[in-house]
Amino acid sequence: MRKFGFSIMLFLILFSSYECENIKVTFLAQWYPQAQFAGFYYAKEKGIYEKYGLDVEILDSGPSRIIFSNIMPDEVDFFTLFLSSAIVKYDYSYKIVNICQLSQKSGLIFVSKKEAGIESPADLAGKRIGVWYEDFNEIPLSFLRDHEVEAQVTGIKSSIDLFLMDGIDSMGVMWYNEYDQIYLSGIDHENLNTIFFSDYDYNIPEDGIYCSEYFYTENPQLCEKFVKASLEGWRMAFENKREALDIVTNYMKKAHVATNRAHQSWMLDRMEELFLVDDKKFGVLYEEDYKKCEGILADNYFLENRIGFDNFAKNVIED
Amino acid sequence: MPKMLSKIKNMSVIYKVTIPIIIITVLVFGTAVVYNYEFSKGLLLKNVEENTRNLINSAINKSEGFFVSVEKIAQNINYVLEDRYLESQEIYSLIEKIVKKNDEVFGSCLAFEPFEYDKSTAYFAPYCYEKDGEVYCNNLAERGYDYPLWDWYQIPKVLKRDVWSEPYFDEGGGESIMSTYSVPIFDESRGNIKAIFTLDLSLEWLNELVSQIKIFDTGYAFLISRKGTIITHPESEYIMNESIFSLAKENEYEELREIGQKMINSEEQFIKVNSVLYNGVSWLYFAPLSNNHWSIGFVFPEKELYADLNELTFNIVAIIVIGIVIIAFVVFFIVRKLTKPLVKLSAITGEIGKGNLDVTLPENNSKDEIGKLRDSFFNMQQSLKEYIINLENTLSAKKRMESELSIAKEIQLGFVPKKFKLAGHDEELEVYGHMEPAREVGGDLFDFFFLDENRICFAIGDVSGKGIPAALFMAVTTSLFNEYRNSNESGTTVKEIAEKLNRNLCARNPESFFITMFICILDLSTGELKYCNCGHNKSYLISKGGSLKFLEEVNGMPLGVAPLEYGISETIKLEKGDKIFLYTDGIVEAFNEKGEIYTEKRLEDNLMKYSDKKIKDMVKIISESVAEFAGEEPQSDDVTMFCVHFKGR
Repeated sequence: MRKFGFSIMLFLILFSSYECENIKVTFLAQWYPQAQFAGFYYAKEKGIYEKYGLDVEILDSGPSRIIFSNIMPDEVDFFTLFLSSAIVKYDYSYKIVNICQLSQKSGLIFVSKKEAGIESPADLAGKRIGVWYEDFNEIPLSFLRDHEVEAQVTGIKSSIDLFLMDGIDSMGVMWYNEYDQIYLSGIDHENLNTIFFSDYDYNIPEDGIYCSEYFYTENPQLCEKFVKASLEGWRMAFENKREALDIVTNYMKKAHVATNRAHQSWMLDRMEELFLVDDKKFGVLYEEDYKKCEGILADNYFLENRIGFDNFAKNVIED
Repeated sequence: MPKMLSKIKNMSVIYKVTIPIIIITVLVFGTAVVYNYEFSKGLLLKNVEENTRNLINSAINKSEGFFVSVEKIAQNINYVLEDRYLESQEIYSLIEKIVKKNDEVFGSCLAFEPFEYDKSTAYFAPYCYEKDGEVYCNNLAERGYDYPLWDWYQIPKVLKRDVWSEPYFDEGGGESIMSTYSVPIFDESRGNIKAIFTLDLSLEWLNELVSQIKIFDTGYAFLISRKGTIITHPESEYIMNESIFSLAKENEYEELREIGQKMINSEEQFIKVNSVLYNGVSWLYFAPLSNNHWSIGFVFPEKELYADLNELTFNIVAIIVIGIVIIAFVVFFIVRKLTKPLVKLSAITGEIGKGNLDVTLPENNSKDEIGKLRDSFFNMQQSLKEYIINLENTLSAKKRMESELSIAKEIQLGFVPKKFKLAGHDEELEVYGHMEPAREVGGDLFDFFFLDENRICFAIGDVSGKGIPAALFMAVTTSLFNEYRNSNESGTTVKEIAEKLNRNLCARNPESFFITMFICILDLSTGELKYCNCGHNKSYLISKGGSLKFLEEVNGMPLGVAPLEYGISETIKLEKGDKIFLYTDGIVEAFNEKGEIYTEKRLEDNLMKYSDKKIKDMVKIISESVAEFAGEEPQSDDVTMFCVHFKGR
């Protein structure tokens, strides 16, 4: 009986791999479709995943489909997360592992209008500061605490409208996204002050590719294929930005997300600056970056237990 | 440039008249057209600006009514909530009523601050909304909806004033562009906010209002939000996707960004813009919707604004061009007709110039300038004819005189010897003479003849005055002098010859001419020379060694003055080889252009210098020397020389 069962299994495996060459996997980005994820769309649309023997389904993404909030890691194979969020989630709930680190540099800034007079972290003291309420806020909040800024922090859902209407003096935003949205709302660059986290010893990289620890253990080769294909997608997207933007625009339209070329183009250019950094290998999570992030999170009470680099980081392309 | 000037100078009168007329006509009409075009443009623009303002402002006024009514709903809620505590059921029915009774309202919510409505419940937000014609109600908080963080709640709460949200597209609800109007409800007694009241409003009517605004064929209106997001636009792709700033950035069009900034700052303006909003130059008017800081813009292409004017101007220009062509033709033909007689006259004048005076002038009966010119030409032709006849007569008279004079010259020259051979005396004597009259004929003379076997008589003379009278007198003198030729009167002396000649001349000299003469008789056997100087200038004896001796004694008055006696004639003895040189004052008084005269000194120097030459050569040399000295200066007096070379037996 056991023998028979084994034979059936063997048959099924052989049959399925014969019938369906490409292995089906799912992918979820951590936000609405936009140029922040251009490489994945590019790899899918230009057949790069197929080339690696993958049939990737890119799931609808957005604030209503955020991993851990409304989708659990076992419902999806691969997903992106900020490094800080991923570490916190690992600690609190579910064992997930970093299989690829896309961003090598922090894109976080505090932006303010010139007239607020905020030029350094110290100037933030006593000001009304907007920080995302739920996700992605660990680092901005730690930054404020580490710089001993006593300010009136307001939780922000996602929009920049409160900032534009002067309901807050400064707001923690992504340089590649909200900063340009502010510019595209009519406020000139010269009328904005920025505090780049990376300039204040807070250079914590963000976007990375994750999967559950279980999935990784079961399918290490699959993970490697997905990472390699995705990195190739990104590289190609940076080389063919016009085409990449067309693809991104299509995804955004399908998701009924407001889109315009000017903003997506800015975002793709910034992603390139954050991803392709001179002294770091694209796709690799460095131990010092991890430790820095883990340290900051632990110091600011976002973390109860240290996880350890080796448990968290599975740099599939380094092997 | 000078080439061109000369080209213009040489142009036909037809072009000289036609071209300036056309240039001036073009300039005048051109200026008029340009002025008219520019002025009309200004007027047109002013009218259109006014029209556009009116259209947009009337649209804005229409929208005001809507905003006021919406704000009134919110006010009423405020009053109700101020009045008394409402049961949750009452709140639901109130909101439901609002949604049902107001067409544009697709949803309404009264979201309370945490623990504000009920001390035991954190969130309470009764919400009613319309979907597929039905109104549904629920408590937003029940769905785990973290409403205090959402813009519609947070912004009015933080700003403590009513706020119109950024537009959004509501799928499933209004299926149209929506905006949420949020008003904070204050607890007057405590001074804090107790709730936020919202109305979700369809802005389809605004969309229609804006899209109905039309000027010209393709002019269109568009609406942008406080952030510059495009809310209505003929290009549906733009709606809710692009903002005026993203378009500016995408097209690298800084001016549009500045326009956008003015629009979201609720400014109002009518300005000219380039492309992006339209292909080519266009005009844009924008003004704010006062209540929510949105801005409405109206854009239309300049080419449509000026289309009628351009067409009108084009037609006017076409008419002017045709007119100018006609003017050019008319002027060309008139001038050609006017100048036709001139051309003929010019051809005929050429003929006359060639000497054909008998050509017929064209008929011209008009009395204008050209008619007068033709008459003047006719008169000139007649005068010329007469003149030429006179001239021909005068010329023939002159010719006759000239030929007579030349005959006279020949005759006179015949009076002086041309042959200087002395038959049988060549060994003993050589003579040579030369006369050069100042005019055709002169008053000088020289002559020689043998009185007998041994004696030769020779003389030189100079009649007072010049020309024909002097020549005639010279002829008389010569013929009288010649009476002694071969007379063989052995006793005849120079004195006798002079006296007889004088008497004869005095007797036939009514005009009181006189003549100076130097008369010599040379005895070849002895070498004795006797001479009588009748008022003539001195002569020279050139000795064989080259020294000069002056024969300067004067023996009496010139001949023909009075029948007087003459003094004893001088006698000198010639040695073999001596030469006698006689001349008239035409030589020594010859002058050059500087007014200098030849002088006796110069003559004497030459005589000494060339003393050993043959007399013929000596005479020639002196003659050339005089001519050379005088240069271009016309000869003033007859030049005559006579020379004798005594060789002896």
